[in-house]
Amino acid sequence: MASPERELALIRRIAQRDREAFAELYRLYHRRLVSFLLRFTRRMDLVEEIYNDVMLVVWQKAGGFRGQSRVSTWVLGIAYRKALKALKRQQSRPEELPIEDVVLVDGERPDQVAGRRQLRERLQAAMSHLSPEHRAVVELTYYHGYSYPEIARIVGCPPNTVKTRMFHARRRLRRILPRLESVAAVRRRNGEVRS
Amino acid sequence: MSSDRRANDAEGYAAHQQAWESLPWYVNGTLQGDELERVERHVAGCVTCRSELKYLQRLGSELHATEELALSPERGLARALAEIEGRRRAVGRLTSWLGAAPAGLRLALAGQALAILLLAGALGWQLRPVPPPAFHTLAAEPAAAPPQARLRVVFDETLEEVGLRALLLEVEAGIVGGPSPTGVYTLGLPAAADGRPAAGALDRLRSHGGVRYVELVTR
Repeated sequence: MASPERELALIRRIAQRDREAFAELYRLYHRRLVSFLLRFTRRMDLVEEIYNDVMLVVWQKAGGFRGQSRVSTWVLGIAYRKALKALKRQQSRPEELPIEDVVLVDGERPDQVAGRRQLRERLQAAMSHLSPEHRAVVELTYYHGYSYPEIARIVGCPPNTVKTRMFHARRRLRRILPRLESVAAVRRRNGEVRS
Repeated sequence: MSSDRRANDAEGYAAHQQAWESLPWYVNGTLQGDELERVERHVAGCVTCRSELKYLQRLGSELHATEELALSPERGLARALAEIEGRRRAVGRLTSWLGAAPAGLRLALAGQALAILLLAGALGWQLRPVPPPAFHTLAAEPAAAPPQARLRVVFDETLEEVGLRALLLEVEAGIVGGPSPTGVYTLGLPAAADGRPAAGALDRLRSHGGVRYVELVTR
């Protein structure tokens, strides 16, 4: 991950129509942003187009970026708006995989499911039951480590709205995943690991 | 209850609500200054918030540990650079042509462009999508396509053609689309009555070492 200063220097060079700087920023953000877009939209078929759209906006608007926020905040804000627009164009919510399809393996009950992979899948399935707006707040907090004022800037709403969205997301996640045991605890309970 | 006691209770509840709402950002370490101090003070004396804090810490660490999807950026980058070059050439051609045109012609073109925009807007309104009529004629053929589920899949770069073929045969899947510039394939495979693939096929793909991502296409 490049430092904020390095990213700002790249934006300045992109504003001067420097294609090497554009390519560097493109590669730098690709993994992080594609993962964000995929978790946000749950639509692999949309992600690659959205990412290119985002970077083309960066190319066009780099000259107008005044450094009021971190570069990553600005780029994620563009990505958030582009992704929301793409979802609306599809006139659909993201695909929602019913939890039992992901969680239940060979007839096991959720409290019998063991292993890191299953726990992660349960979490991902639970996340897919949040609205895109609520999910974005959870993603930006936990995956990207943003403060709530920064998230407010990214998604374009007041800070208190960020807290309200998080409040609803937490309540829904709690309903779907009433408790989160550590993988070790689940394995111990299932007798897989003696301790 | 005295009015002082009620005021204290109300104050305590407000402090609890504020701390409770800020906990996710206490967990990710971005709270600062007074707010951080207030939350720390409250959590130290509040069992409910401490329990919620544990849950959120666990949630945060599990979510944070989710692997990122590493796709190659090179083909997408090549397309983006080609798009930039295409736009630059188009703008260059237009400005050089306009620069050479007489002032009267430029004014007339601007007026014409405005008229075209207005007409396009009016046409767009008239051609807006309308729902199809909700009736069927006797001549209409019933849909007879066999039920097929669709998946979007990213294979690991190390998976060779022989292994890929064996896996597709095993889950009775065929490639119906892709690869996209970032290596996404669309697979078609037999669906159950509910339109979803057999659970075994989905599990097999998810657990296969040569498959990095599986997504069900629900429409």
